[in-house]
Amino acid sequence: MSRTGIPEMANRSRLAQEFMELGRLESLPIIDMHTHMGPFYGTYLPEAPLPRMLAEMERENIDWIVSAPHSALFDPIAGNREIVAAMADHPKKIYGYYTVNPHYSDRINEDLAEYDAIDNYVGFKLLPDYHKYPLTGDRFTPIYEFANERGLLLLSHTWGHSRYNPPGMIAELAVKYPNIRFLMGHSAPGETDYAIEVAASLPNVYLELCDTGRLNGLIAKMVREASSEKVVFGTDFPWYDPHYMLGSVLFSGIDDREISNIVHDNAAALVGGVLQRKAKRG
Amino acid sequence: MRFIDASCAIGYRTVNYEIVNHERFYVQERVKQARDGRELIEELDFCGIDQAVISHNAMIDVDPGYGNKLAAAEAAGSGDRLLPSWAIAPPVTEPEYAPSALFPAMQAAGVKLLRAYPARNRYMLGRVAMDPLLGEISSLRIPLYLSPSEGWEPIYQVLQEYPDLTVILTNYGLWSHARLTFPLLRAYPNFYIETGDMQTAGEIREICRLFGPERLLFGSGFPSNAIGGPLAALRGSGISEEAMSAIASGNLLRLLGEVVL
Repeated sequence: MSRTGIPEMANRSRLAQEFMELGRLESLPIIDMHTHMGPFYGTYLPEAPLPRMLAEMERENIDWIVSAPHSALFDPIAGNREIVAAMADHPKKIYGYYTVNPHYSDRINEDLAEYDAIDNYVGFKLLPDYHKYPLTGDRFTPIYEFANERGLLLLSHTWGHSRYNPPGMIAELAVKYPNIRFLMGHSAPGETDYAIEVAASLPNVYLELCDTGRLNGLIAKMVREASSEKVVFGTDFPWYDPHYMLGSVLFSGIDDREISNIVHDNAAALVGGVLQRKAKRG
Repeated sequence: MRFIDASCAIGYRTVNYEIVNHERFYVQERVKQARDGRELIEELDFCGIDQAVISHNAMIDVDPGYGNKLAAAEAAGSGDRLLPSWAIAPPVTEPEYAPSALFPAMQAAGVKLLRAYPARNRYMLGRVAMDPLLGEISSLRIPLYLSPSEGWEPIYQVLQEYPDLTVILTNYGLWSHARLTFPLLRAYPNFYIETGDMQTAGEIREICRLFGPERLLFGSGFPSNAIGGPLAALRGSGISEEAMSAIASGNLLRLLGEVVL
């Protein structure tokens, strides 16, 4: 190995340069729109406990997150208790999705009656591939009607060519429920071109970066074809390190205005809109 | 800080592109590939990366020997920016992979790193199929890149047979692999992980704490991953500058310095 000179980084993004200098982005706090909480059966997650998540958020300058704990996704008896407690304990750091398990929809009316009383709920989380029930199934209809009436967010797991949550189902629902802001979790890996097309053509559909944002060239394509206003930052944290996805954004070749939209501004506008509408309803 | 990317691929896959989510689970998704060394160097320059270890996708999609020639040619035309790695095959069928033929060819082409794709090339990565090559690779301290994309069993088996083999784990997918890699890190001192797919929150710190920073090599897995993700994960990991520098380039330089050819 004979090299001694280290090449200067050609990426002229001021935000990328700041990150490489400091090891974190101090001038622009991150908002993570796709997170979980707690341990998960299939993998070891060192940062899974909530106190460690909060410490990591502080270290990485993550302003706040929107979360759906694993207990809500996979333990029908526990339901949404963990996120309600976390939001009550950390109201400025944690917002929540109300997670719906379609196999236990018998108590949905009671739960929805409580939804409006919990300040930090901003929408719903669906996980059709894991729950083995399609996004367009009838059991979700009361959820969609409720969310549409209030202009809520809906984060759904999406996957290309899935029988339960392909991007085509999001397109169908987005036309039917125009007041819901649909966040396509993972942006449908295996079918991202279609997901980008749906986000570009429907005003209430957004691309979410978890998983697919790492692929070389994909963020630039999303911004080029659907605009930076239609891409939101998400990571599955505590699964994945938000800094990893931040690097994928910072080095995607887009400009700093577009980076700000993805890392912070779009999420602030989406959640801010939900909270404003909630305040108006009283 | 000097960064050397321990794993980049050049050339176009037959189908763009096979992404490993986790073992035995692929996603087919189009990525921006590097047609040749020049395009990869543009990507490296954009991210401030000094050098990169390269493979050529034709090693996987055409034939190991065919791709090896292309990787060597791209590296030779890059100044010293690109460091070639070669794929192996069983010497019992292809005598050019016998130690007496392979190692002089590696020396002539400046190759110090090898890769194996046993499932893709349909052979068993063990003593029966690969003797004496694997034993020689182990004793000459030549790093061997392996991916668990088709399962972890071949990696566990080859390390049981050759416990001193220098293995660099690559392309393992984004699900945390800790339950599968921590036992290997504990059992085999020459087992290393390239960080391209190391996306799990806190994992770089955790491995440094449990096994030391010398067991990690900065890499991207380009173009499955954009280089910026793994770069920021390491730069923003919160480990010491000394540990970061070792992972960024020092550990790989040490391994290359230990190769006896």
